[in-house]
Amino acid sequence: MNEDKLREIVQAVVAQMAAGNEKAPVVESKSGAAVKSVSVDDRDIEDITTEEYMKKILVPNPKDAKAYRAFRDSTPARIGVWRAGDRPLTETIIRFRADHALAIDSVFSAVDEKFVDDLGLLKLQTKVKDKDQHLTRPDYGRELSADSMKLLLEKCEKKPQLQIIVSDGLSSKAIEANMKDILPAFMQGLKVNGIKVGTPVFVKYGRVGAMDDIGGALGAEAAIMFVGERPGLVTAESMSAYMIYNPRKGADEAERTVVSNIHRGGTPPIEAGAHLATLIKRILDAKASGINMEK
Amino acid sequence: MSIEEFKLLSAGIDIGTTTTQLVISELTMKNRLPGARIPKIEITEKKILYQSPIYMTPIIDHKEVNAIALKDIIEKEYQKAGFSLTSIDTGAVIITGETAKKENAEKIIHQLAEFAGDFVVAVAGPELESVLAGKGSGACDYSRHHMKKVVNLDIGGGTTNIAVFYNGNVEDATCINVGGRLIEIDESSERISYISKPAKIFIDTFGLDIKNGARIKLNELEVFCDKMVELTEQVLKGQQVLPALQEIIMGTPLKRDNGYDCIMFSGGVAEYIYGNEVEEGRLFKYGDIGILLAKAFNRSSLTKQIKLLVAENTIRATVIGAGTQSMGISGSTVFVKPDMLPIRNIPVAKIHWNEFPKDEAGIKENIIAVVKRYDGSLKHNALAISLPCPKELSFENIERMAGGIYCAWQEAMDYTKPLVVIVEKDVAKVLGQTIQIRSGGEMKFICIDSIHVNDGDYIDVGRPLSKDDVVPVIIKTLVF
Repeated sequence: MNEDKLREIVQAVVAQMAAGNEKAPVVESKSGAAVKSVSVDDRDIEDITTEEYMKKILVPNPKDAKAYRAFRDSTPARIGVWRAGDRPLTETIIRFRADHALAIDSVFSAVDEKFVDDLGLLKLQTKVKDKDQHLTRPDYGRELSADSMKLLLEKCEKKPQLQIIVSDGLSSKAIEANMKDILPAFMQGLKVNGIKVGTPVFVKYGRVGAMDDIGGALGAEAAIMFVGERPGLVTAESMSAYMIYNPRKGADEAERTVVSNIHRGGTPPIEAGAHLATLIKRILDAKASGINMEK
Repeated sequence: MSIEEFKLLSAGIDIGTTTTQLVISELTMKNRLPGARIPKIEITEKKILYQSPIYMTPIIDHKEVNAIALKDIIEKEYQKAGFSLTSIDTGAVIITGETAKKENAEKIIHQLAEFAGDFVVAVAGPELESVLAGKGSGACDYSRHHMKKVVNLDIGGGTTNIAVFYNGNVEDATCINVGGRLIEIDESSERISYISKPAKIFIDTFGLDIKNGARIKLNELEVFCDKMVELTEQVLKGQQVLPALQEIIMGTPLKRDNGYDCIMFSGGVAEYIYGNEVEEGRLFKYGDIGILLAKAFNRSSLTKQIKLLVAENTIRATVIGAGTQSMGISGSTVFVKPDMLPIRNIPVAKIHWNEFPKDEAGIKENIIAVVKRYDGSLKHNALAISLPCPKELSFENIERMAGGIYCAWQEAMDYTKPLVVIVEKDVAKVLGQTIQIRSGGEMKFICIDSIHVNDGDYIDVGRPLSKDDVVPVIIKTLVF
């Protein structure tokens, strides 16, 4: 999905460039006659949207290629990208922009409704009306709308041991990329540890604080929120899980336990799911979360 | 979820052909990913607290270890160091070179059983020895810090242990019967007092005039040493050796194109390669040809063509390696049941597939095909299986793996013995929990990750080191 999207963007960019350059380039041939190139053949153009591309070392003659390879493989950062004069190469800058575009898309797109239905989550929304408001009024994102609050109280089990909340946060893609794997692993882990869950919900336009509102309204003993992280240039699919004991409005941020960087290239979502179940067990046993657990 | 740092006391005991030594060190472990990440516990510091003097290994008639005398040495050293047996958490007794013959090893293990604190175990095997020596000498660290290919030669009395490192990883290892004590000399009478079997092979092959009881001929002994160095060179270059000398090579041959950037020497002989002054007229001070062998290495092309590095530890390289490097730790999210631990000397069956099997049955068959070979070895009290992970780490694939493992266990494994499941990628916790659910809790197993093992290895798994269940693991290539 990630790669397809990138490819689309690059194709669109290339198409635009071609359109803005309608006069076909004129090339001097060896004989001195002007040759007109007629069509654009992209077979020899490298696909820069692949994961493999990001592993390439573009430095032409590295002194120690093996060492460079070891460095390159040790970080997702853009090293070994070479330069043209004192500027970046065109292809690396296109890839950079494509990654940036993907990050923006991830913030501005919504989690597919069908995806939410497939996970069997009750659909709720915060006081936020649209994307722009979501970004400019974080305070609205911490409370459910009146309609959603009514729905929550109507449909959800009261006083659950653990309330599960899923929210788009700042990356819808993070939710779509990770939930299918993390949720079953997490639920299974809860089962192994004998922890009971209430009715899981999905919150559109959510911020982390929404878990306090929801957990508090239901009187949950503990709550966990899976939320999309602000996307970066390495991945737009990174997700966090916030946990709190005794969720309620006005809880301190320091009361939250968090596991971040859950994505394919970070902590594998399945292993994270199992680990989170253990953390929840510890939180319930300690009757505390976040900084209070260290006391 | 920050994890405090914690420390372990580790003992290393090296019982070699010529010398016996002990070191006690302190290993510090820390969570390298504190804060909002899944913990990643690593060994961050190794500090040597005590080094024993170097004892001559008590050997009777060039064959048999005097295990009781050995026990006395070690007992005394523990006392001198000021550590009680119970305070030692981990470590290794390593029995090397000629001493590692089966009868000897068994006797030593028996005598030292009470020293085997909570997690001190016996390890041996020529290749593992080579690796530990190279880690103890500093060759491994140098290769990582400088991104160079470093070969370490640990030259002892009976054997030379060779290990090749690149960027902190072991690339190759072997062991040859080249050492400073293959011929023994009575210093006062200047007569040869003992010729070992490997020495005899060299003498016969090259027609040298070296006879037991005869007065030494320096020239002949020098040629003898040159021939040993020549063989070492051939082995390092991965060249064919004379058929008559084949027996000298104890491990698997090295790869042909290793292309070393640097060479490092450790072991007793190394001290003289690095220029220890030879006292006037005391060439045979140690009653053997060690110093001559060092000189032969010095004049060879090995030390001229390859950049010579000075080792951090020479004669103590192996014991330091054994004390500080033999224990590894699992990933920090694993599935273990503390009451099943520790378990020791578990043979590892490595499962292979080119492509992740399409269903549970496929996985089951792959496991059974390999596990069958271990049917006969009933004396083992458990079995470990190491499985490759699917490329796509989806929950569905984990369920398939768990199902396959459970079915294979039901069909082909001993119910009464625990199973250790090993995976390389960080999925042990979820895989373990899935197996647990699938088997309805009836299966006795643990599941650990981030461990690299080979077919035929043996492993020991200790009790969890922290609340995050990280377990110490020792991988060895031989058990007695």
